[in-house]
Amino acid sequence: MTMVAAPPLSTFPAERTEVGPTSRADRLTIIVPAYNEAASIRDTVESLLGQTTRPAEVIVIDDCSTDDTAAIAREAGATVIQPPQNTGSKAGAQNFALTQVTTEYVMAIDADTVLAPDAVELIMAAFDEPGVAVACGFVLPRHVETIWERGRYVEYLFAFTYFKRIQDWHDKALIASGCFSVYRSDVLMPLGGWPTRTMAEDMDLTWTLHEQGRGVRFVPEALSYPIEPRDYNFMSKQLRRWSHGFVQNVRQHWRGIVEVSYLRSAVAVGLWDASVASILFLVAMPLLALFVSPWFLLGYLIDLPVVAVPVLAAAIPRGETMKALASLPSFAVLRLVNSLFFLRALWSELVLGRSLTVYEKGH
Amino acid sequence: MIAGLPGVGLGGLYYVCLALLMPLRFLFGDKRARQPRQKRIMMSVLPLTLAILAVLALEGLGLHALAGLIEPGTGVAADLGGLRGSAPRLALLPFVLLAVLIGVTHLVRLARRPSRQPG
Repeated sequence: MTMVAAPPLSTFPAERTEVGPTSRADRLTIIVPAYNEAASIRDTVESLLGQTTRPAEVIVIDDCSTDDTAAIAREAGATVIQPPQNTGSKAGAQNFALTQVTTEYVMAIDADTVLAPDAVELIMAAFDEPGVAVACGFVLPRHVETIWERGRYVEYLFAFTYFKRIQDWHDKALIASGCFSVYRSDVLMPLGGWPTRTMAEDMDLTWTLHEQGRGVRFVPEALSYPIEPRDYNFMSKQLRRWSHGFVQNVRQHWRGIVEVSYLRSAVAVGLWDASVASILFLVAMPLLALFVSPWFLLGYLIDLPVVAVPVLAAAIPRGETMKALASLPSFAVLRLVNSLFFLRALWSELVLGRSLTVYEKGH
Repeated sequence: MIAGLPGVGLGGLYYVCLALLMPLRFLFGDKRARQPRQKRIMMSVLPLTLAILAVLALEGLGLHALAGLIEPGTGVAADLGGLRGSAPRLALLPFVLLAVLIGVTHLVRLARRPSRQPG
């Protein structure tokens, strides 16, 4: 596995700026939920402790791992805590740590995610603006090799370069990504921390904050690099969780979000694309190609040049032009598979009334 | 995570429309549009949006040219001719659907508002 998107870890720790007592990072606790993350936790902790502005504390919640996660995290310099038993979800582990947070800000980051050396410094600047309750950064897969990682690479470059910036213009970022977001503790704690009632706790929390009129900011310059699912087995678990999580959140929040301008229409078009566009992709287009004209098969690829515009705009300055172009077909495959998972989630959650409740880790 | 399927589905059209509204709101003196953060976002998103529209136009021209290259009278030419004939209606459909969808969200909002009590 080669590291292509992230800066080499040997660059950590980065050159550290002198931090005065008023630095926001001094008032930041970073919590890292981890279950059997021995392979990645050292990189994560080292990237956090090597930031240009160092946080007050890095707490790793070892959620009763059966490997050496706790020992490695402790050795790398983190404070390690362990709940009496496995909490059953990322949100559960994060909430266990939240009781020990005394700082003004708290960051949630996944145990398989590393940050660019200046990511904390850049993201904390979002709180200069009054009313901001949460800030989230740009996410890019750390490894881009398999078809699934490549599909995700294009998906993230596209969504974070185009969609998310437009959402941010309206102060309505749809999701403060769970793998890298910072919250004001005095906003998060009264809510009881991260909700555990859906499979997408980040979306659930972001929509609650929008309903309360809180500020949600996207900081595109703050970069994070999670490890994305490498094979279909892991990808299917993640897609299942995300698709069910989206439907569960629409069901949970629809009364609240219809009152929030732009969020209501953004969620409505998201739901439309997840349902009607999925049916078009999986049912209508094959039938039209079969019975009307094979030219309808162009529908699967016709928007790739359009998708390529924001993708290349982000990839070219990173020196990743060929990687982005070579990854575009994988995006078409991932989208097709994604549409199947969305339809299954809609059918299961809304028609059969079978809600997904078991959190299956899929990176 | 990404909600929906990114691309030029209805979601794609929605965001392109929102991006095109940014400079209009700026020109007409909208307070939000003139804030530094919003101006910065507009300057990064607008060139992308114009490039997307240019690529769409090129794609349309490419398909048009492709139809012209194929030998008349073949099944393929008939297929393309049929698609070309219905292109204006097909192009309009997503705009209508988007308008209806946004209209429905407003109606749901209004329907949920408690009616005002007299007096």
